Amino acid sequence: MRQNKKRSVLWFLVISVLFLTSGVALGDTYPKGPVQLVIPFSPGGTTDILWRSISEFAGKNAKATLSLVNKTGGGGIVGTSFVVNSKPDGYTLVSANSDPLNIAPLFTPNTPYSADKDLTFICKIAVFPFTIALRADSPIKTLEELVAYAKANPGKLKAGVAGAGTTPHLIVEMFNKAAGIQITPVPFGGAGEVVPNLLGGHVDLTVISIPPIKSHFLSGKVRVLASFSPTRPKDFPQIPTIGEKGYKTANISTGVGLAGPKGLPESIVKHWEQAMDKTMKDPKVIDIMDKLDGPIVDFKTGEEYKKEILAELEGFKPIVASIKDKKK
Amino acid sequence: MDIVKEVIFGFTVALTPTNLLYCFFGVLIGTLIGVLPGVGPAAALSLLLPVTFYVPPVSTIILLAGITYGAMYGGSTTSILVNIPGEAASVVTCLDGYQMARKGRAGPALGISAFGSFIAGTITIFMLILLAPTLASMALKFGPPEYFSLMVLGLSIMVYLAKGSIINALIMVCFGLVLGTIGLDQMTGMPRFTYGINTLMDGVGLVQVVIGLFGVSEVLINVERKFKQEVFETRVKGLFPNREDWKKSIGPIGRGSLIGFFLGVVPGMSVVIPTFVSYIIEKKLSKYPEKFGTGVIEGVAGPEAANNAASTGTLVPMLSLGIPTGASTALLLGALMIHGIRPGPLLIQEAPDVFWGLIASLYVGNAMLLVLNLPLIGLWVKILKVPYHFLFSIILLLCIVGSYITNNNPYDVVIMAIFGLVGYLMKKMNYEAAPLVLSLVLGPMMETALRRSLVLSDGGFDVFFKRPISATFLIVALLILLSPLFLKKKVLKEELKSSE
Repeated sequence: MRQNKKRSVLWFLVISVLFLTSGVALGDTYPKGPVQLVIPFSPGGTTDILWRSISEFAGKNAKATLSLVNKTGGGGIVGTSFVVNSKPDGYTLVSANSDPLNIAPLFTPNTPYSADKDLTFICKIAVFPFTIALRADSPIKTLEELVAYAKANPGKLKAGVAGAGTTPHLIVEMFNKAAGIQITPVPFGGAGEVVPNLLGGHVDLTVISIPPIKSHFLSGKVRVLASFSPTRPKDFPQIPTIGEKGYKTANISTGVGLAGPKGLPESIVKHWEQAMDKTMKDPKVIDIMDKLDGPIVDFKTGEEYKKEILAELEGFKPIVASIKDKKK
Repeated sequence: MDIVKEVIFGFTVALTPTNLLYCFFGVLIGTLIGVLPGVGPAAALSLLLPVTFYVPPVSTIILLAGITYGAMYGGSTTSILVNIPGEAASVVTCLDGYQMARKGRAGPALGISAFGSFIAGTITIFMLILLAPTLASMALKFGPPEYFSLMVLGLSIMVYLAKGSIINALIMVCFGLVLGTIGLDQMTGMPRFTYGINTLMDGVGLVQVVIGLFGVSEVLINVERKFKQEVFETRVKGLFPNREDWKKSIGPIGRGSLIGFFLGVVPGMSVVIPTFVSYIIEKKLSKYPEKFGTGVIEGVAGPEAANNAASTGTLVPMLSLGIPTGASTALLLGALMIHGIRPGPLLIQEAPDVFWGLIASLYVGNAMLLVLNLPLIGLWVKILKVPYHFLFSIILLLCIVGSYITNNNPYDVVIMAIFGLVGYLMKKMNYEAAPLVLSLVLGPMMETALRRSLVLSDGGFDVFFKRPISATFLIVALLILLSPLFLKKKVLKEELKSSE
């Protein structure tokens, strides 16, 4: 019996390793062993699900075994700083999400890295767009009506957001600034808590990613006023982007990309950039992304992604300063 | 009736050979993961996610759901045998389960937790079928003020957890509340009391605290009394619960199922809280509350039923509203979405085979788990015969691995070690760990619920009394706190009786 149990544990391990290593072809050049991709968020988060869904394709294209490791904590700071401090040999990479790079450092003094100096950006692969949504029985039907109502009743509208210091939290503040209004953001513990509070009428509106509200939108319980994304999301072709409505500065989404520690050799950067480019063009991957309907493919080179992140960081600085001021 | 037809349809889906096989793999992996401390079901689901691309959607959800409730069965094993909770949801099981094992009754403890989980699983599946739509809309009535009042109610019953001194228990409650303030402030995103240590940004890890306070401290205490070793290894009395055990357990299992299910439905409520509530209620109802914590079977049966029921309960908001209530359900959602299936109000019409197949498979899986777990009991009990110097080294190793593996962060092991030491000192000075754990869970939830409510009400405290559900919770809490005044005589009598 004991032996059996041991054996089943062993089998479980063997099988999981087999799954992880499927599609390996060891060449004599760069990827000589498994490449560790650190996901700085917990299993089950949107970033985790995205990477796990495409890792097999990415691994094939890069001729590498991609082993995904969740190193969670501090809104992504723990995992990101782990990679910053590892050897730049191309065997430790990180899912470079924009929030631990351009939002978390503003809230956390002594963040142990800077997006400018301590990372080598490889590429951007996708964005998570957000939408502004409210209950379908709300009298507010358009973005213009929302702005008008908020102007007449400053501070009265409460917007549920997934957490303090998250992208949607900052979007509310950026939108407030752009439209000259005052909507109060109410941070919850994740999007999963925001939706019931929206449906139950505890908050007036929400800035939220698409997946948690899509089924309620389709069943007619939720109205979407605008999306915060570079283009109209495929799921909501009828919904305008916030940029079209004239609030360009509020048009922010969470980016996901790939990066390594500083000093990563150019050849390795190119290797992964090409592999990810190919991956994000694979029809199978595009199909998966469509079905997950959170992320939108948005491929950019490492240089472009870095510029974007640093520009957003500058834009967030005064917003975060005003959030901190308010709390005093 | 339509429902009967639908359920039968569900079974035809769940009982196909392929789906049976997936269900079996799911519950097997779940059990193993439950046994290993620190490895939660979410980690396993995450690892298996890419595999599910090649599996049809019904089989995917049957496999993944099997892992989540299988973990609830496995979690109690290490709690009972070696005082390390396999999952946070099995902390309460340590209190009496481990004491039962020390008295040579590890078998009945493991047995009742398997049967209790099975019965709870069965009851709650029927509740899921009949009540899911109604309950989902009920859950929407829970806004921040309701959460706050529910947490106040939770805190007010906490003193009943105390085995010995109530003052000591209250000190531990406060200690837990203080610990709960460490980490990123959920309302502003600013770090509090982290002293620049990144590991503390998400707060003091519950898993690490629990493993330290229960597992490590137990090893330390036992190393001291090495001469008394033989006491509990020789007297293993019976592998299964006897008739008297059953008589005592059936009530707690029924109540645990109801408590677990209803609290599980509330989004954001963790699986941990229902187990504590069940334990406290059983202790309060018991004719011999003073014996709780010394190895009474009710203290195992109730909470073990509750944690299984809660894991079914969390499926209600997921299936009917498409709302994930935790990492595991988020992964279930993700897996379904990759297959183009969207849980939510339209699920039953759009993919009836997924909905009814899953429900039928829950039942099939629970039966499998029972069959799988009962023969294992004999094996588990034998572990207690391993000489202590080996057993303790293994336990310590499990503690270290378990606390590391939750976040793959080596500093988490340091935190566990610190709490091992704290737990040792607490045991020496007769402070109990359970109230600390519960207040560490409740504290941050209560704080954010309070602050959220006040943001929503623009600072007015009347919001807690104006809303009927919230007001009811507060009144019940007040009655509980005042009850000693009215019941004083009776309590005194009881205390006299027990001290005789």
